[in-house]
Amino acid sequence: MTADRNGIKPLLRNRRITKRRLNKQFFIRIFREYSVKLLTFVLLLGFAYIILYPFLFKILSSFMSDNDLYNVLVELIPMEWTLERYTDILRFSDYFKAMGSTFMFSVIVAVGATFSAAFVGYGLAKFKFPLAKLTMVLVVVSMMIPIASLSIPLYSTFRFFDFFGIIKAISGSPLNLTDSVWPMLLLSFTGLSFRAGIFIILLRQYYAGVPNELIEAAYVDGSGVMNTFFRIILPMARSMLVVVFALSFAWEWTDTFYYSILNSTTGTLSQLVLELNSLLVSPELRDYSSSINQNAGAILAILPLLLFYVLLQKQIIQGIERSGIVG
Amino acid sequence: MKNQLTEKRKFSVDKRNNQLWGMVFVLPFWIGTVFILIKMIVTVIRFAFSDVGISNGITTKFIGWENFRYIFRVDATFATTLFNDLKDVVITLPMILIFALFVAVILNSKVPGRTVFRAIFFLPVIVCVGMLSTIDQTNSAMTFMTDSSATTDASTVVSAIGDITEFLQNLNFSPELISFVSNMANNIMDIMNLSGVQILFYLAGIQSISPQLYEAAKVEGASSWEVFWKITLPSIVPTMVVNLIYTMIECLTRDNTELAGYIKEISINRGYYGHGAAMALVYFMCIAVILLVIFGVIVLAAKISERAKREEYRL
Repeated sequence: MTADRNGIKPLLRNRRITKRRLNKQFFIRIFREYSVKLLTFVLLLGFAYIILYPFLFKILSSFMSDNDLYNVLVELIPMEWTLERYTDILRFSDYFKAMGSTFMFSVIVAVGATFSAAFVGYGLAKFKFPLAKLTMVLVVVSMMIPIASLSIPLYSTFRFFDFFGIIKAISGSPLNLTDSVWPMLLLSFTGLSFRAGIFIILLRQYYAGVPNELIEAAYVDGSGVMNTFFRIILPMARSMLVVVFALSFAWEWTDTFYYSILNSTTGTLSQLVLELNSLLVSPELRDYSSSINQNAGAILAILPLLLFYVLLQKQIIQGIERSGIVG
Repeated sequence: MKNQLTEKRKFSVDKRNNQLWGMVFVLPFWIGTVFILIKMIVTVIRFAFSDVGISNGITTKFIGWENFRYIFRVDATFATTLFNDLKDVVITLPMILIFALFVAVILNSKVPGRTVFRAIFFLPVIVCVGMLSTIDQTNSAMTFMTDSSATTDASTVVSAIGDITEFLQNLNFSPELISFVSNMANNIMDIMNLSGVQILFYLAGIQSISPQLYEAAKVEGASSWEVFWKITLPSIVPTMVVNLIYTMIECLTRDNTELAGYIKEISINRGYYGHGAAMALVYFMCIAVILLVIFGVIVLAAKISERAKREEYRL
């Protein structure tokens, strides 16, 4: 395009340049432009291949029969296609039940994270109150604590759940909240679930870009604080809310850490996939065939997530790009 | 972030009322912090300094620094695991920043199918966070397949690294640089999995640079190489800081590091809660020190650049 506009037309008008020379310049320009384009395209293709390769491998290998696995000639494309692994998984494990509970957990956590980020972010961005600075510092600190280092108290807090001994005084012993939705519900609605601090900061930055005049105008027109928040601010921040919802949903869907500590017997998809290692396989095949089974299970488990991503991909990416956290 | 906080005028229709509403909005976070987060932190500290027994509820007996002495003097694996984990983080951090910048610059040019590529590069953020990365750590089939087949997959890329390293050595590059490059190539999968969000941040940063700057540079006859170093890079330094912070959080707070697994095994599987808590505390302190150092450097750099700007203005 640019070659057309800048180069060729003026050259054509210039009669002193011979046709041969024109051709040469034209081709050099075109060649340069397209070779750079081709190079970047190939490079991107290579990176994309590196990212997609694990998925490709998992999908294709899950269709391989046991013979194919030990056949040196078979690399990616199976020789004997089989659906056995998938049918086995569906038959011997509670796949649909696990998906149901995973879905429930993910929705709860996503709603909770969106709720807490929307509220706390607004409070931090647009209000002046005594503990504002301390709250901001605490959000940053909560974001930076490696949650793995809190795995023991995470368990003990919810295994023996209590508010300053109130529950113990009433019912005699602290509540056992593990293996229920309560821990994740409490954590997400109070802005402590996986990377919730980042969501709060993300929304805080977004709200900071909303002009104060808009909110003041709403106040002048007689709208209350909550009314303004729900009717004006939240609809404006819809794209950011989609980002927070989608990310927290996806991260909860594939989470292994919180489940392994708080809900070890609930049977969610990620636990099911981790257990496939020892399920379905006779001991002598365990090492190798089992990880192929695991791959098949993982593909089954993330399939809904992939669909979800394909549908929401544009909104998520544009939301993050325009979040206002940068520049 | 801080500047925006202080500069932005906060409105005050009714001051007292406003304060109250602000507290209402942040109330959920405070509830969580007081009842859960602080309680958890206190528990870790208490456990780390005591002998913990779990039988019919938790019993603790204060034993001072005994747990810490144990994990450093007696436990053979802890110190090395900690060191390796921290070393990994410190090495991968600049790699992710550089790689994400590289990809973002490429994606910003007019390549066919860039929206598709953008979606693909962001895919790991959605999918590869918990379960898949846990599986891939122990995926014997994958390692077996990629080792045995030496033709057309990612392993070929990796096996070519030896040749490249040798080539660079023959060219007399410094060994640090060579090991950095070969490390980057070896860990390319990890790096790409961790740099999805950063690429988007960089893209947003690059797109916010005013196009007039580029046009002016073009008129002056600057090459793309010069444009990158003289315009793009200086303009996205703030984005780089945001990315640095995000990457730090992402890398340091991951829950599937080797040490995290070890802590979980020691405490929850074997029942040595005291030792596990001490390890967690040491790990946290190390991370806090790293974060503080990096933050200090960022703040210092910001101050220096501000002072330089002010002096320029004065002149």
